[in-house]
Amino acid sequence: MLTTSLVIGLVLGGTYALAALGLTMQYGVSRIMNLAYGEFVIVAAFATFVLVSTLGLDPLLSLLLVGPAAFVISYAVYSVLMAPLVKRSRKGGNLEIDSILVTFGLLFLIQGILLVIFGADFQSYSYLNVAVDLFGVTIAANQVLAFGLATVLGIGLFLLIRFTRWGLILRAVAHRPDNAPLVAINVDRVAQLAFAFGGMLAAQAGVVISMFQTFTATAGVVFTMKALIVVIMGGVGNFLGALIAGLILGLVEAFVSAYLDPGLTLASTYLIFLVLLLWRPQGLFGKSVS
Amino acid sequence: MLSLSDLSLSYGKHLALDKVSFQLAEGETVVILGANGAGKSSLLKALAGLERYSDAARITFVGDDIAKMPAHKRVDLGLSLVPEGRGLFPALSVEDNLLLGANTRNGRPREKENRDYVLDLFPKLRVRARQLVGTMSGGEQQMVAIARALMSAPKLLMLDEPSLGLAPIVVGELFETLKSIRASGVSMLIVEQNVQASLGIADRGYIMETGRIIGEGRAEDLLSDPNLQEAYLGTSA
Ligand SMILES: Nc1ncnc2c1ncn2[C@@H]1O[C@H](COP(=O)(O)OP(=O)(O)OP(=O)(O)O)[C@@H](O)[C@H]1O
Ligand SMILES: [Mg+2]
Repeated sequence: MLTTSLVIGLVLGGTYALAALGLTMQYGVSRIMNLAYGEFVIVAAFATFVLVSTLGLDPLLSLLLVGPAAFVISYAVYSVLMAPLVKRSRKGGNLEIDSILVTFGLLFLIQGILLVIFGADFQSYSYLNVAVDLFGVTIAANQVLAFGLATVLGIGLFLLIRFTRWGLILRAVAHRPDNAPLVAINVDRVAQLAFAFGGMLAAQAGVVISMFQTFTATAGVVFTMKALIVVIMGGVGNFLGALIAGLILGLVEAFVSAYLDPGLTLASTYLIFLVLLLWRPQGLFGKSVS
Repeated sequence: MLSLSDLSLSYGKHLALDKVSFQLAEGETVVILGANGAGKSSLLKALAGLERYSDAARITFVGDDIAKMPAHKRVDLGLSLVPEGRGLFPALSVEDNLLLGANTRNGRPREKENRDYVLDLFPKLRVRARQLVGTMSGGEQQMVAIARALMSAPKLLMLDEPSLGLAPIVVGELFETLKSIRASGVSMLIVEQNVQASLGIADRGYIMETGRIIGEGRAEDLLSDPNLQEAYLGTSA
């Protein structure tokens, strides 16, 4: 049971980490608290569902299509909805509060459209649904693949952020946007690209999740909450922190579900959130934001 | 190289700069002197594009009209500022701060040479490359800030009170370094309280008072002008 929980926890945690990396981009770099973030995850899951069930596409191929599409759509969403708020925030508006209000509306808009098209039922498709043996644990092949994809995407992103000039620029804007223009950084442009990139990561997480989980039109908010918890646990704008925190959350859920009660997993998530907000609002690994 | 006219800037009702005009020729080092609150920092921030100013202001820099240009583009053109408070990224390493400095049109292709150059200029930074800037002493941070600005391969380097808070012996070293930067052909616009030392390395100086330029002269003349020393610069010399 221990190894089972461990493996399942890592699979879950890998997808949480991936989802949280996107929110870290949007919140940490673009300073936009996107309450509709989970909707992007779910829309990608449904898009994959449609591509797989109507066109018979391989979900891996869907990952290659849905990811870039989400980038373009998020880029456009930023232009239409966020750019005016960013502009206003310079004249004394509050970007964080404004973006919460706007994306709260966006959440229900997207959810409503999904409900009209797909209804409120659980959806899923069957993919690589064969049992494999991993460290003595029997687990579905699709979960192993999901973990592998989340790991590859997560580590790839981490390397990008840690070792490239582009990643350095993202970290600089996340850290001190006020000082970024001094080193020739166009903060508005970086914010828009980071928002689009975050949307792409959300979509990739959605595709990966759809490979092994059922999903509903209303599940977005849970993903938003979990991603938010992971982002705060990892420290806002801390990409490595988000990766580790994602894995921790997955493990906690798996162990609570196995040893306490499956019904308590969501409660345990929120408990972590509350404890964190009270005890370490700067995150587990965060240097306090000064 | 740099010329500006009619630059006015107000914070709410408070007029911090009142139709400031001046020129700076290529290769020149110019010092701006003035009492606290005279508007020196506001002037540098306006030139860097970090503060909004009057529409009537005209600023040209190496032939380009930059009055409406956003701050990041001005750095790209070679107008670099080391602001009051240094403007660094404290949670990033010295190395990362320097690399960010090189994020300009002219800085990127010369990143390696410029890095060697600034590390020769500030040998102390070589061994501190991995240290987080926020954990460094004030003097060391000032070195990082100047080094970072040089990484952008600036044509004009603007420094806001570079000697602020430094021990006297370090101030001496700093001005030696500025002298050698000047010798390398970079133009400089320096705001300083240290009248003697700054005029010592400068070609010319401007005197500011309550948002206006009220005096101008060659550095030697200003240094030897007893009235001016007494009237505007107090005993700070
Ligand atoms: N952000 C701001 N909001 C309101 N007033 C400001 C602001 N920045 C500067 N001022 C005011 O503008 C005037 C000029 O300030 P500035 O910082 O340019 O002076 P300074 O010459 O650099 O002074 P110091 O030698 O003390 O650095 C001061 O009266 C100051 O109080
Ligand atoms: Mg000042």
